[in-house]
Amino acid sequence: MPSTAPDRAGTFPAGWPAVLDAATDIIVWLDAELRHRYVNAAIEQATGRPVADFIGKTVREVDAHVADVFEAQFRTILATKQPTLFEFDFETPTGARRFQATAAPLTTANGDVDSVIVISRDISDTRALRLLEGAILHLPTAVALVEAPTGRLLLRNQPATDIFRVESTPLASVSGYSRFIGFHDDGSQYTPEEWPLSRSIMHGEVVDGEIAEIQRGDNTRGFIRMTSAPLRDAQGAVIAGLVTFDDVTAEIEADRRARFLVQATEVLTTTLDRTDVLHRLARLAVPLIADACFVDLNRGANGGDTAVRRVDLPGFRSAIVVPIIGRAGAIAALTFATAASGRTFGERDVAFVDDLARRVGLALDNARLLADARAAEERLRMAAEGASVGLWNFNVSTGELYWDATIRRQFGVSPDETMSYDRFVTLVHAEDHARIADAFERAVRDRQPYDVEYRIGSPDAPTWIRALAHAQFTPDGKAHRMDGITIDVTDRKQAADDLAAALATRDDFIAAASHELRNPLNALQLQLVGLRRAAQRDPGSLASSAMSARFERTEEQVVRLIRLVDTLLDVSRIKAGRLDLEYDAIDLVDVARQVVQQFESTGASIRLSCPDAIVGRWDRMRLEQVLLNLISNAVKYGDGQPVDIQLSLADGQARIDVADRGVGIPREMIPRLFARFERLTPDRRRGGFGLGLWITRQIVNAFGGWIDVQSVVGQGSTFTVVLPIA
Amino acid sequence: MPKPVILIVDDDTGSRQALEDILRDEGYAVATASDGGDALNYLRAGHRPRVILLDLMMPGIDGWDFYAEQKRNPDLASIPVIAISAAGKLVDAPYSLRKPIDVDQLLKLLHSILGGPDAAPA
Repeated sequence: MPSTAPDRAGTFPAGWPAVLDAATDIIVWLDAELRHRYVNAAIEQATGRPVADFIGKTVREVDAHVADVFEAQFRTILATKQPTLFEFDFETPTGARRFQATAAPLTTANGDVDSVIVISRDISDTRALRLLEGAILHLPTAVALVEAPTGRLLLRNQPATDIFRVESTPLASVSGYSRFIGFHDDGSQYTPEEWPLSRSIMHGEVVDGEIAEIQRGDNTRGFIRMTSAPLRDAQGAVIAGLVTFDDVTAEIEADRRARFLVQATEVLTTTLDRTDVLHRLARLAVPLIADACFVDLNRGANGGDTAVRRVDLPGFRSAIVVPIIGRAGAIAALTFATAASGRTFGERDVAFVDDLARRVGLALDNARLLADARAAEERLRMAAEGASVGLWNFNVSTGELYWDATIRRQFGVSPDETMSYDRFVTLVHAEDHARIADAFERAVRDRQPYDVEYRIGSPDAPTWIRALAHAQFTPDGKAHRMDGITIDVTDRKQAADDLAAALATRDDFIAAASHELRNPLNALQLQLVGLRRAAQRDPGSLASSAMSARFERTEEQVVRLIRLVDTLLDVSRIKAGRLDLEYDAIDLVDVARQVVQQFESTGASIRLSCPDAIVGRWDRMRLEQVLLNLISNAVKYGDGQPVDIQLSLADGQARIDVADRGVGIPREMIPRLFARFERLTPDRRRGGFGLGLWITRQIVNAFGGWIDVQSVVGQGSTFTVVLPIA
Repeated sequence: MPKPVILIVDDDTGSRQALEDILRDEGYAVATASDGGDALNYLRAGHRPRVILLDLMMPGIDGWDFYAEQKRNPDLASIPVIAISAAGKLVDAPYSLRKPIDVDQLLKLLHSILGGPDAAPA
């Protein structure tokens, strides 16, 4: 750096140039043409150019851009004769720098400006700091800058003040941080040294996003998230600390509400009991959203308010009453209150608990509906089990098949076995597969009810199952599931078979009865035709004894017909319970003798063995009918052998034994012997209605007695009737 | 001249007797059997009726069995049979009547077979 310049030597007082050259500001003396008359050494430092480059040259010759600024300032000075303060940029070997300059006029004795002194200072670095400071002050994020290690506050912006609502100046030391009240997660209070900023300046710690609950100057509570770092000098010593923090109260509370809702939802979905739900919710609410929570289960009883509202509760800072509204009105109320936390419920809280109340009400309603549905399902299941109705469900698209316990019992499938359509089919008799496939096809394609009967179990004694279902369809018309039932209809099938057999028996009977009636009718008709022809040929012949026999035979046919018709009428009477008996003192022996007499003309051999008389109170005509039926059967099936009738009296009971030596009755036929329409011989041409023994038993039973039979095939049968005599 | 003999085979006594009375009144000789077995015994005893009136529905040896047996025996096969039935039918019997029997129709049939009660044996 040159200590002097030739032109400047005589201009300044001795010693001035050295002082000027030592200054860090650039000092330039310009004449009225803006020609450099003097520059100090600092200009070499700032521009990297030697002093000689400037002396005698105009500003424009040095730098055109700076010249524009200087010429404008000079014009102002000429006009005002006052100093100006301005800035300009100057291109240096190390890049563009900004300078702040003060220009002041030097005037002649008559007041003309003949030159200008300009003092410039490179402000490039301090400007950045000033901009940064300005930016910090306007940042929405709270920022504070403190000196290390004292903790003296250098800078803080408005948000920092707003968040804490505490006067932060003057603040000279870390101990002064006690005015800021904050709490750790565990509720313990921050000491001044525990704040992140303190840790940064005292220990050089970098803290990233620490969250603390704070109590503001107005006693409200909130949450802040803090990030702090130390600032170090070239030697690495901590000279300052910077902290930024945001108010994350809304964020944290939203998060707590969300956590509460998640846990509340869990409660609502796992508990069906109203009381339990509300108490568990109350426990969850503290401390997430309140310091205390009360459950009022009597809300429903006294009606109450249905609106969520804030209330004043003695001893609490803030409280909200939340009616839980179900389908049928308020069913309970929850009261959320704050105290120790210093929180005050706001509109956001009201909206939140209102939403919560709706969810709870809905869930409790649903829970009740679900409970009702479950109870109904249980009742259905029990009814189904009681009625042996199996329940099944088939997913048409996946082929999954659900079977309940009853249907598994019906099919003999273990409770653990996974069912499928294919497995089901293997359980069904092969002959019925096509029927099931048809029914299924109709159900899913034509939307017909699925109603099919099929056999399962042993081929010899199958179980008949009737399955009923409706297919369910998706909106696009595809069958997706079938819900159905199965019923064991084996008994019904058996009953149907029995009925069919009974109908067949009746048909047989009608055929036999027709045959039985036709024979005497045929004979009667022939006899009448014969008599008519004889009369036509010779009217006188009708009086002959030969003709008299023919009339008798004709009458016999009429009697035969009457007997047959009477038999049929007896059946009707007995079935209708109208077997009217006329009791009288009757001698059984007498009746038996008369009946046996009737058979004399047939040539049958009938032997009667009896005491002189057996008198009892019976209906004579019906007693005759019993004997007639037994004897005519014995004759009919007696194979022409003698029939023995034995009458006896013992212990006040009359006993009739009618024994033949005929074909006998196979043992297995005996139970059916006294049934209606049963004629044991497969040979229908043997004739008869097959009603005789049935009617006989009905009469015997009406007399208070009983009938039985002993028989050996090939040796004959003995029918025994025992009748009380009184 | 002996009267032509007609064999009546019927298990129902009443019908059998009535038919017998009518045919005797018409001048025929009548033999009766109460079932197929009876009738076969009658024939095996050497009797040769001119016509057999055969009821089909009978216990024991019925009309069908009797007819089959008769056709198997060359001595008996030529005897004309008039089958009488309420329901059944004798498929290859040359003559058949339904119950109830129309007596006029029966007599005309007998007349056409025998040429009348007094006609000589064919």
